[in-house]
Amino acid sequence: MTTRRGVIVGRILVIPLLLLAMEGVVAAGVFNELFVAPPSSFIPALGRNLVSGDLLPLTWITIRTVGMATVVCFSIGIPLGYLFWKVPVAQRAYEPMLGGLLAAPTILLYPVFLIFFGRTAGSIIALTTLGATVPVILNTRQALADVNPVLLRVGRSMRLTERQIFRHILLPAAVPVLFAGLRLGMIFILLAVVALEYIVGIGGLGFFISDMSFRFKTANLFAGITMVLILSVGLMYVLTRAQKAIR
Amino acid sequence: MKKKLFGLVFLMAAALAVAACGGDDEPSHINLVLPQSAALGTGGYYSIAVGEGYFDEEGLEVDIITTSGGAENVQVIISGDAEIVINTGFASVIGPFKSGFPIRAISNGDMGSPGTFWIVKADSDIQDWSTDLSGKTVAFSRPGSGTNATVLDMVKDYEDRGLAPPIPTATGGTADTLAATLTGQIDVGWGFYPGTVIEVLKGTVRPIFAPPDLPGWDNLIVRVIAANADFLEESPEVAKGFLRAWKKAGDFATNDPKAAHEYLAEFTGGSVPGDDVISQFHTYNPVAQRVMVGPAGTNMAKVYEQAIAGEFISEPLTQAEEAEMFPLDFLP
Repeated sequence: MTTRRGVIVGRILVIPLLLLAMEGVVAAGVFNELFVAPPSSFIPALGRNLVSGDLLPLTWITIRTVGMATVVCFSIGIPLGYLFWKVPVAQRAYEPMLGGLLAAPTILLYPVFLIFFGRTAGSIIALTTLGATVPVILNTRQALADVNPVLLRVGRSMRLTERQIFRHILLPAAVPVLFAGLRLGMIFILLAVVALEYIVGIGGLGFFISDMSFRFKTANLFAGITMVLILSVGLMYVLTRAQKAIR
Repeated sequence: MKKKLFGLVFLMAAALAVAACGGDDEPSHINLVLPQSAALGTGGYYSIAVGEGYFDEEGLEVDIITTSGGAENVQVIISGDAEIVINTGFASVIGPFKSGFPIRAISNGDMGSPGTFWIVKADSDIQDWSTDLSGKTVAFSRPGSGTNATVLDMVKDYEDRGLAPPIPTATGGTADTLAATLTGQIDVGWGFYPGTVIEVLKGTVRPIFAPPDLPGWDNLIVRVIAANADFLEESPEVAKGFLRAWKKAGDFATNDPKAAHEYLAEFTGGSVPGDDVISQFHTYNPVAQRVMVGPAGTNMAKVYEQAIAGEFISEPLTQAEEAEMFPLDFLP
């Protein structure tokens, strides 16, 4: 079996194997079925809630919120990262503070954001942007700083404009590290959006999980968690395809 | 040498004997869930029971866990992290019981929810709860709570009259709800005696609605005292002792509201409210609504109607299920 085929087979097999293991563990009584729904229970619940329940519209709310937060985050983070690379003084002045902000539990500021933005998606978008922009800024600057200066000198020797240098040399060379930052930012966005939806209860997958948890509907709860996992894998896949397209 | 050795052995044996005797007198430990702990009927009663020695009389050592209400209370009970919860919404017990979770109601908490009421900002244009709440956000604490049941009933009342209903919104505890109300995040908040009454007297908020305004609420078990089923099976006498102590705390508050508020102030670290608040004690805590009873003779049809509306159950419990869900063996 070739390596690529082996990777594909491995990816296809891991999910059924994990589900089988989970089913077995619950059936054996290691976990109480009241608290941990087996796949034979939450997979049908996922189907039912998608077809006739609120899961699909609530998933769309989360996707929309994540999408808007991503656009805002990347629109702020990438230019700021570029600025830090272009103006080293700014980078030296602010990067340590940004590093500190990365470690801070900014999600706990949600009561303040609720006051300013109301109980709307706006407060979620604003708060997630605050935290998610930091890795985007830091990785964008690092990605540009890591570009081999020889490549830039070659471009200048060929009399390319700054725009051409950016599009044909800087960006493709910076893509791996840049996208690592974008991935981190998107992971933070998804986590924060779902967590805030859970806490504030204004819609989305987080609200669905919270509601099912409070109603002790364990199968539906796990269905909601599965949907978050599917969404997360989907978003990472989109980012990976985008990275390949740019390169 | 031999004498010293004998003396040492004797002392050790004596110490062991004393320790063994002491084990029989050790208090039974309970973790108690207190939702909305700044309320007189929760934190206040707890403080009274501790201060007046009611728990000691029953051989109990009680630690508390505070929550925001409703199903959040019950999660702590069914996970086994606490044994008893005070004043949790009835629906939040019925639903998990029906699903097989280890929880039972052992006494009613309050009848008709006299101590809670709904508020608006003082300058709000909402005047009449029965007509002005169409499309407005109305707060409740958590799904399954007494406030949730009240708001769902309000929604049903609007729908029955052909009006666009209010929008139920979960806001958590009273502090979060008051902040949400005052900052305009929600149109109508909720509060309880005495904390929110103090805000009303200050003029920051205005009451517009109380559960007795709804039909069928005077004989309605809104909240219950509930316990972990495994704990009840293992330690029934401990559960009975707790309810006896809790009843004494309620009687103490009825007989001496001022002293009860002093205990509450000690618990919350706040100050004792003025006589203008304390004088309203019996309005918000009528004795008739605080008797410890089971479901017999109460408006259980409405309880099930609310639990179904809240999607905790799909049909009422049978008599046998109700008897299992609400054993009467522990009532004082």
